[in-house]
Amino acid sequence: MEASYEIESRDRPGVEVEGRRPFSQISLKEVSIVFLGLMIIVLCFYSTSIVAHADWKYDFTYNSTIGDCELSAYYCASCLEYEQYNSYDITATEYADPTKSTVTSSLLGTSKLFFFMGHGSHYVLGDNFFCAEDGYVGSSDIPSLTSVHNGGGQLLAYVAACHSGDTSWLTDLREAFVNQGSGAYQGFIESVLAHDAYHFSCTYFDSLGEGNMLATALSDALADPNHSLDSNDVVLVGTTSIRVADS
Amino acid sequence: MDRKIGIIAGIVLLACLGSVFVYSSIIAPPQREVKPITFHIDPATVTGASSIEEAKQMILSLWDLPQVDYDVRVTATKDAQYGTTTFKLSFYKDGNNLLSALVDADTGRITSISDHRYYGTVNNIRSNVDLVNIANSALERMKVNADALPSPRVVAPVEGTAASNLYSVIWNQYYNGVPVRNGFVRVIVDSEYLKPIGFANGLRNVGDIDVKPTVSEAQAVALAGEYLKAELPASRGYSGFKAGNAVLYVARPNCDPNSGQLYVPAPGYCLTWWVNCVGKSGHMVDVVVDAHSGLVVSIEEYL
Repeated sequence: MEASYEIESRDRPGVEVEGRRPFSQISLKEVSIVFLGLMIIVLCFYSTSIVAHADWKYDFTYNSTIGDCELSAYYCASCLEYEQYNSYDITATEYADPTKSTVTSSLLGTSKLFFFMGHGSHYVLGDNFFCAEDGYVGSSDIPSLTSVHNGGGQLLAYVAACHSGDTSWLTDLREAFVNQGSGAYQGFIESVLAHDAYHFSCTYFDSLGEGNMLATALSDALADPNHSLDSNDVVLVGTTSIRVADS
Repeated sequence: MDRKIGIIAGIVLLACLGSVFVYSSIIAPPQREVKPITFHIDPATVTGASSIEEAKQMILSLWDLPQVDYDVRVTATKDAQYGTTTFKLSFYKDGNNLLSALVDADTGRITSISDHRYYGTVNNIRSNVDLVNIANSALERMKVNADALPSPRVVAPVEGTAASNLYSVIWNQYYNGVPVRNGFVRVIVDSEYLKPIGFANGLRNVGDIDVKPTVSEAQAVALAGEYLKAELPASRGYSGFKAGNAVLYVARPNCDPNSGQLYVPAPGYCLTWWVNCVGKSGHMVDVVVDAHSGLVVSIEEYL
């Protein structure tokens, strides 16, 4: 396409100036290119803003059929969502009723902190599990947790479910999570009332949000007067000096 | 020319709107619709029986904490279900969190102490008597009258976990001979340093309740069984449940059995039968039956 026009220069009358032409002669093709460019710029802007706010992925999942679980995930996420870890922002997201593949493929292996509150149990002769929407997540389903989103291993798996911290079976979730690379694992040994787990979890994550170590958060949660759980009801294994938020 | 400017402006506008739509509908996480029952509030807005400074001085005078300058960080939490407002005071020295305490803003009562200065690994506990003596000294310090409570029970921790140094001594609360659900005083003792490192005052103000049930245990079990067969509970997944044994408690119902939603605010204390029911898959719930009216007043779910 010809892009050379004869335009009278204000400074030097009669001199031919290349590349300048009346605005009305810009073709639709060029307009389309400008449009696409603008689209790319706008998308880049949003992408940058998303990346800037997604430095660490903290995922809070729950069974929505139990009211305490949704409220617990909401509260625990709120304790960390405006905090930072290692000077980078934490993005805390809640997921209701995740499927097994969502948990094992999209969340575990990418989450810096994985939280689940919902039903759990154990097989008669096998390991324990927690209940996703369409199946059970057991020890053999836990993927590698050594390289999560934005680098490093998973810091904590917090599974608030009946028997999630059961230690009396040949294989169990706590071993699987720690062996697969989670810094620490927290669960409940036997059956636990949802309302007790709610209060325990709220106090635990309140403490974590202050930048306390896992062991300190456990002590704070055990001293909460609103639940009847004791030290023989909970299991915290792994590196208990881990902090999941900067102080 | 004006036409083209208009076209370009329109395209740019559409591009921006399209990008915002794509971002908000696909990339951005969904907005929350949950109405929390527990939430943080600004401590400065709380008015109650105890000011933050009074709470701080009370903790320093009652607990074994040296009288030095601390960086005290304060947060406040509101619990809409139980209508309580709680201060949390964290005592920092040289950047280390030495102690956290919860204070009921309405009554000024210290409800929790978590002392982070001692965290041992060795077990120096010789007997439960030693543990109870240590715990008793903590109760005296916190001005809780242990004589008004029945004998305590000692809970040993699970070996091989982070809490394996933490023993609990618990006094359960009774109201005219009936146990109060979640009513207790708990002292947590570190097994190496032999010091109380945790205190939880969960004694409940029950009010005036007739503790003689007019509904028998057998009737309560039958009522719970009938309730679980009804259409509404079955529609929420409570099908195939069998009612087991029942225990009498003074309790505050938590979850409305008709809607499945939590009570906000929760009703007052009442005399209740807690009927443990187990489903075919092993899933458990406690159906709570009012021991006077025979109405199902709450469903307590296990995870």
